[in-house]
Amino acid sequence: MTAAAPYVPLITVEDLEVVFQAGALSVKAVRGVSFTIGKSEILALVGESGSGKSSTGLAMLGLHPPAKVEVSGAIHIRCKDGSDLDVVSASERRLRRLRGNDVAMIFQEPMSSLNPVHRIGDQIAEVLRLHRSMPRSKAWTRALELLTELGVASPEKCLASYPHQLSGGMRQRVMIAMALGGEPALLIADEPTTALDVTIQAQIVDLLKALQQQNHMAMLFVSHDLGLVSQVASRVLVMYAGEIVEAGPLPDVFRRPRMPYTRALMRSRAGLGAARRKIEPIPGNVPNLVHLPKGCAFHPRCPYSLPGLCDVVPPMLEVAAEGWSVRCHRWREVEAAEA
Amino acid sequence: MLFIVIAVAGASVLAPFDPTHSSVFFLSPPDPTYWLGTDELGRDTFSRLLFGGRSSLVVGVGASVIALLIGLPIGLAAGYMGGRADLVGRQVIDLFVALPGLVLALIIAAVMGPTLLNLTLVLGLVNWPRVARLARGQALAIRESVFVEAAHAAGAGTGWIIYAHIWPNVQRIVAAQFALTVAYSIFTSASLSFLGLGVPPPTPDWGAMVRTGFDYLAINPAMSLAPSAAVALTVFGFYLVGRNIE
Amino acid sequence: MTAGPLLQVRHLRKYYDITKGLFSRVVGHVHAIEDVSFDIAAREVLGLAGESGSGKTTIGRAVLRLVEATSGEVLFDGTNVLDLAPRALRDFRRSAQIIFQDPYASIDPTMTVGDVVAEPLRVQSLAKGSALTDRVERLLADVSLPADFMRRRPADLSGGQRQRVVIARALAVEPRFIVADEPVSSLDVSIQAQIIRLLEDLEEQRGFSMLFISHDLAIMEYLSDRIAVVYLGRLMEIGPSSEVIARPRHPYTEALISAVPDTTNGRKRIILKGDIPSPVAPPSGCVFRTRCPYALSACSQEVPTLREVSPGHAKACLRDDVP
Repeated sequence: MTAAAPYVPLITVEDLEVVFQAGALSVKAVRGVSFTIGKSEILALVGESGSGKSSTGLAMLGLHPPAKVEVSGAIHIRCKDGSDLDVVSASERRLRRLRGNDVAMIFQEPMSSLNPVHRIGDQIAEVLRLHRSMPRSKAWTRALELLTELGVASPEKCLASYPHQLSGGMRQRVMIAMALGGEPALLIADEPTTALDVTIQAQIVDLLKALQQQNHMAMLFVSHDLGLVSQVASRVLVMYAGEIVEAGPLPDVFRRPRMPYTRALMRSRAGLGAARRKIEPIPGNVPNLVHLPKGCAFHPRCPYSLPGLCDVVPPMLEVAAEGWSVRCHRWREVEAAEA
Repeated sequence: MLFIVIAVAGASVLAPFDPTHSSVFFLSPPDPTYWLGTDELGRDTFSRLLFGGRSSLVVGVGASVIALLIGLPIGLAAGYMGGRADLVGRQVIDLFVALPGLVLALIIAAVMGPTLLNLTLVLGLVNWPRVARLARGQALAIRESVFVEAAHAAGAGTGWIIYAHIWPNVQRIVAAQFALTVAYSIFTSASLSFLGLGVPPPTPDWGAMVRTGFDYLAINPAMSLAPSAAVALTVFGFYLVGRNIE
Repeated sequence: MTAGPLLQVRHLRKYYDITKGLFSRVVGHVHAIEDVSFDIAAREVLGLAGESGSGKTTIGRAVLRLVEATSGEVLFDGTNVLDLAPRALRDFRRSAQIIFQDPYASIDPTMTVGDVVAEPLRVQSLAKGSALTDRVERLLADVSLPADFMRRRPADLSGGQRQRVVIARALAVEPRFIVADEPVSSLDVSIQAQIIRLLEDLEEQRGFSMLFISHDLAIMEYLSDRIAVVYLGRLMEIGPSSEVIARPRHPYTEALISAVPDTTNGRKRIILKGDIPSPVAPPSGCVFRTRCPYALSACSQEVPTLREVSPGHAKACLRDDVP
C-alpha cells in the first residue's frame, strides 16, 4: 500500500458498542467496532440491513438519542482547532460545536434534513452563519459559490426555491452544500445516492470524489452498494451483525475476499456484461440481533463453516496481510480456494 | 367499564328495591338499607340509578347501531366507488350534518312524544353522518392501496374488494367510532332528560334524576350527584374503550 | 394459440391531464408513455430499463389495463386487451398477472398468507375448499415457503418472505404472462439474489413470458432475453440483452450502462449533464437531446423513430455513428 503522504489518523474508533433499548429487550446493533479514518482518506463501510453500519455512522456524531440508546467505547476526533474530543463521552453542547464544523453528515433522504417551509438559500445560509459566523449577505454569496462549485445550473434560482420544487439530485447537492458549508474535516455519507437514479447517482459520486480531492476532506461512505463503494473508496470495512468481519484495501478485498461473507456477497451479485455466471444467493437470512448464533455470527450460512469450531468459538479479527484483517477461523482456506 | 355495563344490564336482578316503589322515607341520606339514600318520593336512589342506566345504555347503544347501519354502507360506497356515487353520498351526508342535533331531538321529542324509541332514532339519525364521513375517508385511502390494485389485477370486482379488503381495514376505526358515538349519545340523552325532554317519569333516567335532585341539593346531595357521576363515568368509560381500540 | 408473439404492443400512449382552477380546466398533459411499441414472444423475458419519469412502471400497468391507456393497442394472443368488455377482461386476468415492487404495501395486512395467495383463485372461481387449500400449499412450496405459513399474517414475515408470497399469488392462476415491476428493488442485497434465482427457476419451469421492469441493469441483463430502454416515455433502444449491454447503440443506453457502479471498473465513464426533464413539457424532437453528448441541431426538430441497426436490434436516434 503506497502512500504519498503519511497516514495521519483523524478519527480513532475504539470498541464502539451501540445498544438499543426497546422495553425489556436490548439489541446490540454494534458490537465492539474499532477502526481509524485518516485525514483525506475515503473509507467505505458496507453491510446489509442489520449490519450496524448506519448505527456506527450516527454514533460518530453522537446522534443517537441517549434516552433510548446506550453508546459505549470511544471515538477520538482530532478537531480543527487542535483539541481532541471523545464523542462518546462528550457533552451535547460540545457535540454541537463538532457537528457541521469538524464532522458533517449527509443522509439518504435529503428531504429529511430540509425544512419544507424555508427557501434553500435561507437553509444553507443558516448553516454558514452558525458555523462560520458570517453576516447574512456574505452567507448568501458563499451559498451561491457552493452551489456553483457543486455544478448546479442556475444557482440563484435554486437558492430562491423551496425544497419540493427541486429534483432529487438537486436536493442532494443542496444537502452536500449544507454539509460542506462548515468546511468539515470529515464527511459521513449514509447511503447518499440510494434514492437517486443511476445517471444522477454517477453525477453525485463524481462530485463527491472531486470535492474530496479538492478540500482534502476525509469521507466515511456508508452503503450497501458494493460496486458504488469500490468506485469511491480506497479502503473498506465489511460489517455483519454488528461487527467488522473484514477490513482492507479496495479493490483487493472485493477481488479476492478472505472472509466467506464478503465472498458470498460478491457471488450473489449479477455482474454486468462480461461476468455471466449464475447468481449464488446466500442461503438463509441475516441473523436476528436478539438471538445471535453461537460462535461465529455467520456460520449458519457459511459454506466454510467447520462444526465444533465455527459454531462454538466466536472468531477474532486477525491480520491476514498488511492493512487487511479478517474475522474468520478459516480465512486461509478461503484464500486458497479463491486463488 | 365492563362493570358498569354488567351492573346496569343486571339491574333488575341486582336492585334491592323496585325503583318506582315509593316509601315513607323521604330524602334520607345513604344508610345500610338504602345505599344511596332515597329521593323525594322515597324511592331508593341506588335502584333508580341502576335502572336509569338501562335506558341510557339502550339509547346510547341503539343510536350508535342505527348510525352504523346507515352511515357505514353509505360511507364505504361513496368512498370506494367515487364519481357520482360519491358526489351524491357527500351531499346527503352534508345535508344531515347541517341539522343541529340537540335542537332536532328537542323538536322530535316535543312533537312526537318523548319515548325511548324516538330518542334512540333521533340520536341515530344525528350521528350517522359522522360514521359515514369516517368510513368514506378510510375507503378513499384504502382504495389507493397497492393490495387493492393487486386484487384488481386478479380480476376482482367492486363487491369482492369492499368485502375482502375495504371492510377488514376499516373495522378497527369504525369500532372505535362506535364506542365514541355511544358515549356521545348517552351524554346527549342525559342532557335532554335534564332539560325535561327525555323519558317521562316514573321510568328512572339519569338526566331526569339529576334534574329533580337539583331542588333538593342542600338536603340530599346524593340524589343529584349519584346520577351525575354515573353519566360521567359511563361516558368516560366508553370514550376510553374507543381510544383503546384505536 | 396463434403463432407469433404472445404480446404485441402498438403505439401505446398514456397522457395524464393536468387540471387547474375551480372547474378543473385541462391545462396540460403529463406525457407518461409516448408511442411505445414492442413484442414479447412466448417464454421470452423482455427487460424494460429506465430511470424515474421513464414511464416504465406505467407501461407495465397499461399493458395489463390496470391503467387505461390514452391510445394504442395491446394485442394478447391477437386480441386487443384495451377493447375487452368486463367479462372478457376478467378472463384475460387469468392469463396475465403482476408482481409489485413493495412487498409491504402489496399485501393486505388483515389477511392471512393463505388468503392472500388464494385470492386470485377465489376471485376467478378456480378452486374451492380443500382443493383450494391444496393448491395454495403447492404454490407456497414452489416459492420455498413452508405450508404452515398459510396461517401466518404478513406482519410476521420478512421482506424476502413477503415477496415470495407475492410471487406465489401471481403464479396462482398459472398465467402465461407476468409483469414484474421492480420485484427486488425494495429488498436487501442478499435477499435480492434469492428472489432473482427464484424467478429464474420459475420462469424455466413454468415457461411464462415476462416483462421485467427495473432500473438495475445488471439484474436485467441476467434475467432478460431482450432489453428495451425507455427514457421520458419513449423507447430509445431495444435488442438482445447481451448485445445491448456489450455494444449499446443509443447514447442514453451507453450512459446508463456506464453509470452502473461495477467492481471491475473497466468501462468508459460518461457523466450526463443536468436532470431528467419533466414529462409535462418534454423537449421537442428527440427527448434525450438536452443531455445527449452527441446532440445535433437536427435532433431538436425531428423525433427519431425506432429503426433496425442489426437483426432484432433497433434504436431511436438520428445518428448512425454514435456511440
